[in-house]
Amino acid sequence: MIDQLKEIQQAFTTAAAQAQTAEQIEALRVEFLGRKAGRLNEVLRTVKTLPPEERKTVGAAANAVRLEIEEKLETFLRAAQSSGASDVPAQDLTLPGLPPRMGHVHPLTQVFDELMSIFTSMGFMVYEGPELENDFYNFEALNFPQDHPARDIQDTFFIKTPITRAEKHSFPTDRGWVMRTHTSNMQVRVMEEFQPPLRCIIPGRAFRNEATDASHEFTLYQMEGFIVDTDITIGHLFWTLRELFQQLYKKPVKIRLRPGYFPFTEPSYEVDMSCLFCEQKGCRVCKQTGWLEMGGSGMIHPNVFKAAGYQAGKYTGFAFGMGPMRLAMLKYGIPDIRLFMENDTRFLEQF
Amino acid sequence: MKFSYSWLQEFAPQLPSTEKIMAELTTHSVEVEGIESGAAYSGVVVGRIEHVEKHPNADRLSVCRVNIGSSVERIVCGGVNLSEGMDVAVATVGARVRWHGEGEPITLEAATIRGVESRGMICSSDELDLSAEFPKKEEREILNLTHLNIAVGTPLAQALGNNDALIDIDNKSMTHRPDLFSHVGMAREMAAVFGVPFVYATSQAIPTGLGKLDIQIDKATGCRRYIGIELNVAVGNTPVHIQQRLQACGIKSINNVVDITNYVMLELGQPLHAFDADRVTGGKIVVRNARVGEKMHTLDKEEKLLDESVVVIADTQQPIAVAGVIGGLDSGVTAQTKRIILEIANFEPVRVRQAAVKLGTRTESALRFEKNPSAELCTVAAARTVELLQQHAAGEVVAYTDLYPQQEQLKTITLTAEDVERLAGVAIPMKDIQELLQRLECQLDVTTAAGVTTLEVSAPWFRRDLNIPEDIIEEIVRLYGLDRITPQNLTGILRVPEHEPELPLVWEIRKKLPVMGLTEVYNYSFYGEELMRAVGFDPKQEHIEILNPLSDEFRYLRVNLLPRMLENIVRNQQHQKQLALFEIGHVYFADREVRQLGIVVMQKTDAYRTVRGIAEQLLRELHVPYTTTLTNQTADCPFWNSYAEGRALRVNAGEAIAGTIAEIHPDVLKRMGIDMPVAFATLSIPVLHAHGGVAPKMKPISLYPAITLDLSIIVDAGLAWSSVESIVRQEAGELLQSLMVFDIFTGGKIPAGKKSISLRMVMQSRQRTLEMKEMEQWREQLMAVFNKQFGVQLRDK
Repeated sequence: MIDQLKEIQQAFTTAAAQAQTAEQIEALRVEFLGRKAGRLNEVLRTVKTLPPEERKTVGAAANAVRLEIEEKLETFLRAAQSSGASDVPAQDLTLPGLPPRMGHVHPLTQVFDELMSIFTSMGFMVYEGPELENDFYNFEALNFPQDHPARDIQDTFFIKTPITRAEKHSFPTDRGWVMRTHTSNMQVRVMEEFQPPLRCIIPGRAFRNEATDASHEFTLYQMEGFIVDTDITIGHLFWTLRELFQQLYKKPVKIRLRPGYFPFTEPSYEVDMSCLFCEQKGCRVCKQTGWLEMGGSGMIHPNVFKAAGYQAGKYTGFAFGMGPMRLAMLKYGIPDIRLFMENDTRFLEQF
Repeated sequence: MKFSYSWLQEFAPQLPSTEKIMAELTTHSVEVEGIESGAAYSGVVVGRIEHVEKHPNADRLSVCRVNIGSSVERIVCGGVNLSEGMDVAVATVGARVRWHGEGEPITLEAATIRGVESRGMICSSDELDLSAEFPKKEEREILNLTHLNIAVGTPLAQALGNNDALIDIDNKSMTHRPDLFSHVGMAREMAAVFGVPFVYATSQAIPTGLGKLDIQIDKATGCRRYIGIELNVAVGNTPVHIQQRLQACGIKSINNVVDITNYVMLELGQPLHAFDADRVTGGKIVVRNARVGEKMHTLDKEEKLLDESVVVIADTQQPIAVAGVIGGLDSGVTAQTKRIILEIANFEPVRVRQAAVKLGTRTESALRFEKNPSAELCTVAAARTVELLQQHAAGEVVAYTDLYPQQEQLKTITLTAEDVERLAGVAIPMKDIQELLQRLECQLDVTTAAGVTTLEVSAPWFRRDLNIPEDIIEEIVRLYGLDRITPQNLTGILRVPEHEPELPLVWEIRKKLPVMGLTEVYNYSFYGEELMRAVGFDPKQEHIEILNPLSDEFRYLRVNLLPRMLENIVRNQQHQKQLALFEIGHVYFADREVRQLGIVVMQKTDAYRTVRGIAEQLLRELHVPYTTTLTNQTADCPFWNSYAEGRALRVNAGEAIAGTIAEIHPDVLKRMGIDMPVAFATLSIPVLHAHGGVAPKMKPISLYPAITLDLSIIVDAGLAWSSVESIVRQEAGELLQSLMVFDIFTGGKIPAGKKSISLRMVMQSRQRTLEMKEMEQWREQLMAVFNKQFGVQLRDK
C-alpha cells in the first residue's frame, strides 16, 4: 500500500513537469485528487479493508501525499497564471487605482494646522476669540489713540444693531462694537484670563472695510502670537520668528527686523524673510529686493499690560502677526486672494 | 514722499550714496520704496540742426541733418518749427521717450520712415515729460533749446541742471514721524542713521514791534496755534532752482508767493497758506466751525458743502479756507495780488483728517497735519518763509500776530542702562547709547548712583513721538543696528497648553469630515437681503446690521451657514453631479456669538439620508449621546422657511438642541436656481462640546456565532420606520446586535398605498450558540406582533 502511494507521488511529479497551462494543471488535479476517479482516492478507498493498526499508518501517509500534491498544484497554478501562459485574463496593473471617496480641507485650514502644530509644540495656547468685538479690546486696550487712522470709518466695520453680550470684565470705555480688524483683539482678553508666563497664538478671521482685488480681501485671516514673561527680549522675538519660518518652509531662512509702527508694540518691527525663490538674488516675487514681507511684530506696549491689569514694569513680552493667506499663496503658488472665499471645488480639491 | 537727494545734501553734506541709503535706511529708519537716479533723460542730448529739407515722400515730414557732438545724424521729424541753426533735444537710438507724449515710455530704435532712414528723434517737450517747464504753443511743435546756449552733445539732464536723484520713502513707514515729512527732517534722520553732520541754520527771527492782525480762534476748533503775517509782495516768476525742486517733488509751480509756501512745506514740513489780503473781507481772520449749509469754492475749483464738523478759516463774511486742508479760490494769490496774509498754524490732526475725508480732498497739507506735527515748528517756518519772500518776492512785513494759547511742554524720560538691556537682549555700552541719542538731538543727563546708571532724556521739540522709556529704547536699538541683536532661544516654565475649550473639537471635526467625503468651504460672515429672501430668512429677525457695509450684499451678519452654502452649490453645480460640503464658522447674535457646523449635500437621490448618515456618524465618532425627534414647522425658528414642510429632524443632546437635519424646501432651491435636491445639517459646536467626549464603555465580544435574519414586510406607505424599529428592538432585546433597512420598495406587485420594507437583523448571544430553528421561530413571533400592530403582511421569504 505504501509503495502504491510512492508510485502515485512519483507519477504526479513526472506528469507535473509537463503541465504548463491552468487547464493541464486542472487535469492533473482531477487525475490524482478527483473525488470519483482520482488515483489517490482509489488507494484510500481500500484503506478501510486493512487491519486497524496498519490503517493508521497508511492513512497518515496517504494524507501527507495529498497535502503535498495540493500544495504543488497551487504553486504550479500561480506560476502558470503569472507567466501569462494561462487563458485566465490577468490583471492590467497599469490601470489606475479606484479612488477612495475623500473630501478636502480648505488650504487655509492646512496652513493654520501647520502653524498651530509648530507653536503648540513650543507650549503656546491657541485661542480664537470673538469676531464681533467691542471697540475696547480691538482698539482702546491696544493703545490705539482715539484719532488713529485705523479707527477711521474707512477701515472698520461698525455695528448698527445694539449688542447685549454678557462680558466677564466690564469695559472701562465702551465706544461700541466692531468687526475685529485684527486677531490682536485677544491679547488683553487672554491676559485678563491668565497670569504670566503666557504663550498664546490667535488664528482667526478679521475684517477690513476695503475694496477687494487680487491681493486684498475684506475678510482676511490672521495669526497673532504673543509671549509675556519677566524677561522677554527682542532676541527672543527674533529667534521665534526664525524658528517659525524655518519649520514652515523646511529650510534655513534669514529674518530681518526693520523699524515699523504699531500702536500696541514699542519698539515695533516689520518682519522680512529671505526670499524663498531666488536665494536673495532678486526675483519677481520679492520685487528684486531679496526679502519677502511676512508680517509685523514688536515688544508689547506698557499700555497694553496696563489695560490687562498687570503690574507696571513687571513683565515684558513680544507680539507678532502674520497673514496665513499670504503664507498659503507663497506655498501653493496661488495668484489671487479671492480664490480662498470663492469656494470653487475645482480649486479646493487641489489641496 | 519723494525727497531730492541734492536738497537733502544741503543739510547733510556728507550723506552716503543713494545706493547705501537704499540698502540701509530701510533697516534703521523708514522704508525706501525706490530711487529715481540721475539717469533722467538718459540718451537724450542737445543737438543742432544743420540742414532741413522736405521729406521726398511725405508732406508733413522733414529730413534734418543734426549735429549731436559725437556724430551727425539724419533724422526724420514732423515738427512745424524746425529751422537751421536751432538747438534741439535729440533722443538717440536706445533712449527712452514717451511717443507723442502719450502712453508708457518706449525705447527708441533706428527706423526707415517713408523710405528715409532715421536715426533718433527730435523731441517735443511732452515726449520728455517737460511740458510743465516748456509748454507747447502748437500741437506739432518741437522743443527749442536755442535760448539756453548749451554746447552741442551735452546730456539734456545736465543742460537742464536736473541731475538730481529722487528718494521715494513709503509714507506708511513714517506715519508716526511728522518730522520726517520734510527735507530738513529727513536729512537730520539720515545724518543720525549714517553718523554724518547735520547743518541747518534757522532764519533770522521776524522783528517785533510791527503792526498786529485781527485774528480770533474759537475754542471748539482745536486750533493750537495761529501765526498771521501781513506782507507787501510783488507776485512774479519763481527762481528756477525753486521751481525745479518743487517739480521734482511733484508740486506744480504757480507763482513766486505760492511756490515759496510750498517750498517751505517741503523743506520744513509745515503747511502754510497765503491769502490775498485785499480779498479778506473786514481784514479779520476767524478760526471757527463751519455753519450748516455753508459753501466754499476751493482751490481745486470745486464747490464744497460744509457742516459743523469742519473747521474753517473765515473773514467777517464767509469761509476762506478749510483749516489744514485747502484754501478758498476767491481769496487765493493771483498775479494781481499786492498784499498777502500768510497763515502758519497748527490744527488738531483728527479734525483735519475728518475734514479731508469728508470733502474728498487729500492734500499735502492735510497729509502733514494729520500726523500731528509740533506747534513749535510754526516759529521756524514763519521766519524761513518771510526770509524767502524778502529774497524772491520783494516781501515786506507789515503786521505780525502769533496766537499760541498753550505752549507745548517737552518731556523728560528716565531710564537705566538695564532697562535697555532687558528689552533689547544685548548690553549696549553706555558710551554708545549716549552717542546715538545725541545724534537724535536728545539732551542727556547721565547719573550713576549705587552702580545704576540713569539717563534723563529730553527729546527735542520736533520729536513729540518720544514719550516713554520704550520709545527711547526703540531709537537706540534701531540706530545701533537690529542685525546686531542675537537671537535667543525661548526658555521658561514648561506647560502643556490649555487651548480655548471648543477648539480641539473643531480640529477633530475638520479631520473626520473629509474622510467621509466632505470638502471644507470658507464663506463670508455677511449676506444681504436678496440672499436672505431667497432662502426664506427674515432680515428683521435676529440679524445684526453693519453700519457701514461694503455693499448691500454684505449688510447683515450671518445667523446660519446655510445661505452662503447654498450659493456654493450654485457655483459648483455646473461641473459637479454631486456635492458634499461642510463649514465651521461663527454665527452672530446680539447676545452671543457661537460656532456652527454646516453640512450640505446635493445629489439626485437620498440627499437627506446621506446628510443624516454623515451627521450621525460624526456624533458617534465624537461620542455625543443623542436622540432625534421629528419636528414640525414652528414659529420659534427664523430658518424654518428654508426647510421642506415636515422634512426636518431635530437632534438633541441631553436637554439641549444640538442641531437640525433637513431637506431644503423646493421653493428655496428654485429661487436659488439649484436643480437637484439638497439636504442640510447644522450642529451647534458648543452643544457638541458640552455633551461630547463621553468615553465609551467596552462591550465584551461574544464567543458564539451570530445569525443573520432577513425580513420583508408590506405596510402602509405612511408608516414611519421608527415605529418598525422600536418593535424590533423591544422584541429582540439584548440579542439584537444590529438592525438595518436594506430596501424600501413601492409599485410593482406591492398594492397601492403600501410599501415593502426589507430589514436585516443580526442576532447573537453572549452565553450560547443560537439555533437557526429557534431564531426562525422568533421571527414568526415578530411577524405576529407586526401583524397585530400594523396589519403587516410578509412579502416573501
